[in-house]
Amino acid sequence: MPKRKKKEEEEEIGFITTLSVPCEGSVGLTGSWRVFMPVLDEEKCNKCLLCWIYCPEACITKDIKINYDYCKGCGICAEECPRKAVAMIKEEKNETG
Amino acid sequence: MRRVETGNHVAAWGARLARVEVVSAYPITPQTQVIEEISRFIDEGEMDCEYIPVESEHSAMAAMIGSAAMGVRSFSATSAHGLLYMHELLHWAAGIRLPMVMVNVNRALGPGWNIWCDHQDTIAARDTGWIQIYCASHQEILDTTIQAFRITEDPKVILPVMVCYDAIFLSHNYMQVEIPDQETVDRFLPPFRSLWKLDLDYPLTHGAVIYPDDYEEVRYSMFQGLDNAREAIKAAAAEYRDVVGSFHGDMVETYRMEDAECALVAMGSMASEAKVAVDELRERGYRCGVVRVRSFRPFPREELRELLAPLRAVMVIDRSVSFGLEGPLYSEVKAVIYGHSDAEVYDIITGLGGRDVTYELMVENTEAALKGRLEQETRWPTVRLNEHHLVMKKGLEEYWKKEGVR
Amino acid sequence: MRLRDFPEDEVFLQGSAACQGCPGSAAIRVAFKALGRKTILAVIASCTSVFQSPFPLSALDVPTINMAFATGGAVASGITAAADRLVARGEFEEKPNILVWAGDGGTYDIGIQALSGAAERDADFIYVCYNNEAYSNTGTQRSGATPYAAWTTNTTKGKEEWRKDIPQIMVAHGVPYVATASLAYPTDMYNKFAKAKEIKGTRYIEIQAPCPPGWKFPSSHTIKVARLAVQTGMWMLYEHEGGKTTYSAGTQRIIQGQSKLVPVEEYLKEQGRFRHLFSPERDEVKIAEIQGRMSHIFETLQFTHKMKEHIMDIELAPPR
Repeated sequence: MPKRKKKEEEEEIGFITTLSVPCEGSVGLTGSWRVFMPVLDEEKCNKCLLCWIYCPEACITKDIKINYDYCKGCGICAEECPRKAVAMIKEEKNETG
Repeated sequence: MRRVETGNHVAAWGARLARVEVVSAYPITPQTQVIEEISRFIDEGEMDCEYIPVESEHSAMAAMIGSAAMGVRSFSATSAHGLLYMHELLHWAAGIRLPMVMVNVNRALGPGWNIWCDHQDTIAARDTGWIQIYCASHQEILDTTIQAFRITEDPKVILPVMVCYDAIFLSHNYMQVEIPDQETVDRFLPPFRSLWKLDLDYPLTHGAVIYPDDYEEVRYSMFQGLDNAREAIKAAAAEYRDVVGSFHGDMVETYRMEDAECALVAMGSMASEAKVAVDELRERGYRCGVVRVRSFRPFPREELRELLAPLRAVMVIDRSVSFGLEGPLYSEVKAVIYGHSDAEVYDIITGLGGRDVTYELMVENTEAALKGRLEQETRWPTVRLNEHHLVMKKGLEEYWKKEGVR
Repeated sequence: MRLRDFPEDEVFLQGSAACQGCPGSAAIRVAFKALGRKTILAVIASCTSVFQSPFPLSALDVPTINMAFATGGAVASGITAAADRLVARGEFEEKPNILVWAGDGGTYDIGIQALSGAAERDADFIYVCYNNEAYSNTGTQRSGATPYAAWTTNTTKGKEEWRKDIPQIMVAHGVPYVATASLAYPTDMYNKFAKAKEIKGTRYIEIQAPCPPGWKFPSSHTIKVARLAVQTGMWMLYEHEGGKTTYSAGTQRIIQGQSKLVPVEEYLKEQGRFRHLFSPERDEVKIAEIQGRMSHIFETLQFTHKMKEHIMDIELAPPR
């Protein structure tokens, strides 16, 4: 007959509640969601900042550097760029991502 | 300062002396005088507090959660349908782990509109994670409201407290109370404290999505918090007695239990009536006592086991019903003495919708139990058809005849 | 205010659970550029409750309380009252912004009572409804904000009713500031938040949030669809304060005659939720109905605008 577990043996876990801590990459490296990646042609870019403000992921800096760890490849930057300076290129990825 | 006040007014005094800073409440009979008195205190400069006249009870609880989250002592008051309307947020208030105190005037539920006393409203909230303390006198309402802030802000607890008291018998009747002065209460109640808040210097997010792998621990922590509340309730009652002077029991209050062979178990003002019943039963040769359940959540497991298990018989008096089973207090009493006792346990459900519960009724039923004339099950001894019921039945029968329903 | 003057600081942290092309996260970025970090945020049950990412990591770098669906106006009332106490006690030098962030579900329908109550009390906070015109978080069911003829999972033949107008309901409450905004006009949105920040009392801003999965368009078209909404009149940009309505940006240009109203078809055919109006056959009746309403609204406003010089300086509220 298995030994009965006493109440004291249950873990004392202290105060636990649904508090979250702010951090980048809160759901992981969301760059892995991409099928197409935005590539900037710096020659064409005139720093109008539209891609910066339109990016839903806040992963383009104000000096137009794209953070590919998190860019989800939505394509808004390419679509909205008045100079057509951003191209959406199909990424070469191995099958396991 | 000695005054003659209603239960509702002394609840307001409790909030005032506890230096509550935000009150959000919606009026509902028979709670209205609590918030009216608080409004008067504020308007006359006697209470330094914001009163938010919210547009519903659900919003009252939401607003209280918001102000508690900012790290400010918060208070509300409600009853019956108001309590039910905020039910979703009762769970939220417990789960968000912030200190909060609310008084609930125990009133019956509709349909039909009944503004008189029973316990169905708060009993229906027993699983929400709130601490529930039931008062049996005006003095106790005042004292418990103040103690409640101490309990809810205890770092090992941090769960909201509901101070419950009977509609009309306690909320509206006048009794003499001793109101302590502010200085004395300040010695008992330290300034507000909690374990987290919305802090501009340290941003945290509360209440995001949480997966099965993480959720149980949040609930277990609440469960432990309620367990820790036992010590907090006892400590608050003891210290209040030392600093302020009055005492009404802690988890339970007993009367003539020292040599008892049988106990009446009840909550609220009925337990005071039970003392009169016990005196009469003793005259008749039965060694009875009263165990008033003061803290219903956490349920006084150890205390009831110690007091009731060695007895010959227990008569539970329920002022609410768990439809489909039995009296809720009955179930819970049996649950905590199970495996520890040979006592016979009886139950009556009575007093619903404010029907008067007399000591004669208690004596009659307890005596019958002790004489072996009753089954150990929930009984409804005060149910009987009267003329009004017959009018209703007749009316319905006419309708059935007319509509060819039967 | 120009884009280059927008602060660089991000309160929304990249790597969130938001969909590709999400209008909600795009909107919250712009809002916080204007409001800054001294903001207490209450997120009401909506997509934002989910895209901020699950416990224990958050994409929101301000103190945030997630709250139940119907509570927006009420939780804000509690927070703002407590904040006033903290200012009175000297714990806050300055009262922070208090921002409620809710969807159309939590504003138009289940949350309308709490919002109305808070507005009637002129509770001091900013209420934002980011409106994706459906209950998106639960899979795109209809809401009171869903437009006429739109597909949703429970209006599969197209919604039969026209939508509610909460901004006008807020105007009727007499609150100090009401505004509508669009993702396609970010400086206009920024200016409205910056203005709201300086006003006391209940401030209401509604942002149209075109949702790629819910409205069925490619994730790269979020801004394009938002722009077309304004250009066709399906989303009107204006502010109401001090008893006066002022039209803004693209809407103003149409009213004042600098732009022509684009035919509403251009907007509708971008979205799969209106596909049944075009395929297998064109529903000329419904398209005409919608166009008719847009034309009526703008002809009325264009007329009254012209008459301003002759009659009196008044800008009509948007007609039905």
